[in-house]
Amino acid sequence: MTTVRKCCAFLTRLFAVTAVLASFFAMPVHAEDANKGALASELEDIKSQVLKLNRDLFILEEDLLFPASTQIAVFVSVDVGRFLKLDSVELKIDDNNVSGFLYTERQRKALEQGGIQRIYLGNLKMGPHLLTAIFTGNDAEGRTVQRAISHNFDKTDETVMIELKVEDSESSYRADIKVEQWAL
Amino acid sequence: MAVIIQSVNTKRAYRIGQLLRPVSAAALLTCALTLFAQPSVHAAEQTEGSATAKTDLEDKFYRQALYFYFAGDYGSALRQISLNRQRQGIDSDRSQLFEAGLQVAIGLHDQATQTLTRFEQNQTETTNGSKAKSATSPQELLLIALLQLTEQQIDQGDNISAQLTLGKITTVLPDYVEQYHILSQLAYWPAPPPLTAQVQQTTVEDDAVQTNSSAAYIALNQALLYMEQQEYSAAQPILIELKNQQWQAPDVNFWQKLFNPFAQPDIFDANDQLKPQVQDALLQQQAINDYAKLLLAQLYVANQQYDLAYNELVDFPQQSPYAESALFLFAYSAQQQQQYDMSLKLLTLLQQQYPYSNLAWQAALLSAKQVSEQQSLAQGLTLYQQAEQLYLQKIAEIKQFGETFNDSKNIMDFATKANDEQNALLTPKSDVLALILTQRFNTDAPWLKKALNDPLLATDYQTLLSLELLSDNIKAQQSNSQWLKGTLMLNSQRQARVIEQQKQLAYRGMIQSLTAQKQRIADIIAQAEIEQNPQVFANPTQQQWLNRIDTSQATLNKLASQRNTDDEQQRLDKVKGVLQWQLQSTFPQQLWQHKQSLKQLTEQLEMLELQASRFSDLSTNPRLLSNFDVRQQQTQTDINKMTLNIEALNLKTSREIRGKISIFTQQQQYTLQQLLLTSRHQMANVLEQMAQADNISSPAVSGVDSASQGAR
Repeated sequence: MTTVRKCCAFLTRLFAVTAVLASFFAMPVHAEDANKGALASELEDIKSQVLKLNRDLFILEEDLLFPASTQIAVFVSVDVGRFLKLDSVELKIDDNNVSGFLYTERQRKALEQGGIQRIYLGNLKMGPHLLTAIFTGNDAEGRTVQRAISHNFDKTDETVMIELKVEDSESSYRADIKVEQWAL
Repeated sequence: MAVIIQSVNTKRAYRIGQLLRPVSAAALLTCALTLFAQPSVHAAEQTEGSATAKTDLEDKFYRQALYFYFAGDYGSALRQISLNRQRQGIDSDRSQLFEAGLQVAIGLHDQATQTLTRFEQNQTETTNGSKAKSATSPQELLLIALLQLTEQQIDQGDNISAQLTLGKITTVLPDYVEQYHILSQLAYWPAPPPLTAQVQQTTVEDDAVQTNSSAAYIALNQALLYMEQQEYSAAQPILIELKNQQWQAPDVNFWQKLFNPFAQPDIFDANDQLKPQVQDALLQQQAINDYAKLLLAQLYVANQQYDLAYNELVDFPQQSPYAESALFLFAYSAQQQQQYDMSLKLLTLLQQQYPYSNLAWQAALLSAKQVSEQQSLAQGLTLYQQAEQLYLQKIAEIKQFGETFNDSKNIMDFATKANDEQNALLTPKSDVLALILTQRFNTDAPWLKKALNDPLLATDYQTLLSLELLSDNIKAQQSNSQWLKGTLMLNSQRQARVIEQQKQLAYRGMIQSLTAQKQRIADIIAQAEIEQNPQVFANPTQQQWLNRIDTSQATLNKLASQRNTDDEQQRLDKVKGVLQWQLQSTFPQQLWQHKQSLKQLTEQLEMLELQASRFSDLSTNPRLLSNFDVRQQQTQTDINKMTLNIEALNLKTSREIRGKISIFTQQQQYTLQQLLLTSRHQMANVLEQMAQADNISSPAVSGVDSASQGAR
């Protein structure tokens, strides 16, 4: 019994020492908190500036390389995507290959979840043009299928934005490609 | 024991905060996506239906940001939202909420708070007629914003503001009850949260709600609170329930499933291994079980129910993050249970497994104490001497570490940047993304590893890592800026060349000449119309005929004085009449055709003039490229400024770290000195007891007593 009491007393003393130590060193915590806040705030500030810089450079690059008067942008979207698991897209403008894209699983899902991908940004002369798109993928049974679409459009001195939509057709159990030229 | 509870509680509070942060960031994004992603698809369908209607650009550009987000490129998603606002003037509710979520994800908490406040104000103003095209009620949007705002405020340590924000919530929808509860616990800690908001009734049974992992955190916090208030009887049933309970993932919809590893069907990778994020989630669940067990054992020890504490910890997992505390508590319980052999083995194991742990250092003294009391004083003395040697060795080590650390030029030299698989899987796809996924600082230096248990120090090291990433990002942008500068220079040269060509070709003069010609034709047509003269529009054959008629008429005129030419004249008039009739019959048509041609020509000339004028403006406008130059120079200035800022903050953080390490080494030395002193005191006691024992056996030898006094 004495041994147990002694052990307890010893432990109590040991813990008391540690507790005193802990409280002793806990004193500057408030100052550290303030410092932490300042550092975190400065870091956030820099991070935010870097993001802003990135955006500014992005805009500068686009403005310089793709002015609105010659700009054409092509987008891809998928509605549901049950009848065509998108694998790749090829784009031609006036019979010239301008863009191609091979999708990863994640990118494909990003489209199926409602995302719109800008697949091409380029420059075109004013006047009539022909856009051709070839979509390759797998159908519901896993067979490789291709869908192609052509679209005539006029390039004016305003940006042209064209969306290629892969839409499931419930009536034909296949995916169709539709074109929507955005009215700005 | 109080120390253990205190330290574990501190760790716990920090841990809950840490756990909550990524979860809630994901929750915010998920909410935003849940609320808006599906309607966006419908919006697209509607647009298709009315081809002539103006395109819903807000939806289109928002969905571009969604694409980046779903593809894992958060930085580009945030940039897209920002671009949408700057270029298209799009600043819808969903954009704001989505932006706030992205800002949280990349650690821009202040900005996220501002965005959420703005959103909350907008929502409060438009509660009855929200402009957001969302399937969700404005009340729900407001609730999401208020909850997220609270979380940001808690994260920034502003609990008073967090309490005020929570006070604005009057009704909580069933899906958000747990989030509201946890945030209230954190905001009011250690006081019990008032939970004044009314929970909207639902058909979901309460039992089902209580079985998810969020409910486990609420219960753990509640148990912790009871224990701090020494209401052990209230804490006990909660912990007993928690320690073995398994939780199912909360009910989530289609969109939420995408971000919830438990609900995701493909939680195994190609090699049939659990994906890292799933492993992490499972570990978290195990950690809740373990922590509940540990708390329960502490509770039993506090109630002196050592047998229960012992039984509780007997199967405690060795790999648990709480294994160290559990082992110490287990050894202590064994000792109290008078299982001395077991206790000794456990204390020895603790020293072997955690050589830098304070608990292990204390274990050395406990072992010596136990041996000297249970076995023999001589054996106990030996163990005290070993403990003394251990403390001396550790004091020397910590001094050495302190000096090495002080002498190091770059404190990041201590880092072992482990190839984190998770980070490798989520490799940045854009330069901006690199700002988001920061790897954890890791080190092989055991003292530094121990020092990193201080969350403030760990945060400072994370800051340094973030600064490294920012610096890399700035370097990439610097090279981009230089490339733009080169492109601008090339463009300037090209512009100069084109202007020179223009001067040589004299486009303006050519256009003027063409305009004069057009004017002359216009005059002819006008004249023909006034005079109703069809001959102007005669085709080459008709013109040839007209010429021949004129020639014949002249010949007849000459012959008229010499002989009778009436017959010839009559025939010529006939021919003339036929031709005139032909011309007259096609005159209106010819006039219209020529007028149309003239109109087209006029239009083309106008376009040409316009183009020439635009070209002239562009070529003579010095602001065209200089505007780009100015913008490029501005970005360069920004880059230089940011580089300096990063360096300054790096220095400042390094100084902070050095200061903290200095305090840490002093702390450790002080602790070790105290333990050394205690060990020497105990040694003196043992020697005294040995001397007393000797005195009893041979009273004549009284000098030992004075010797032991001297030793003390």
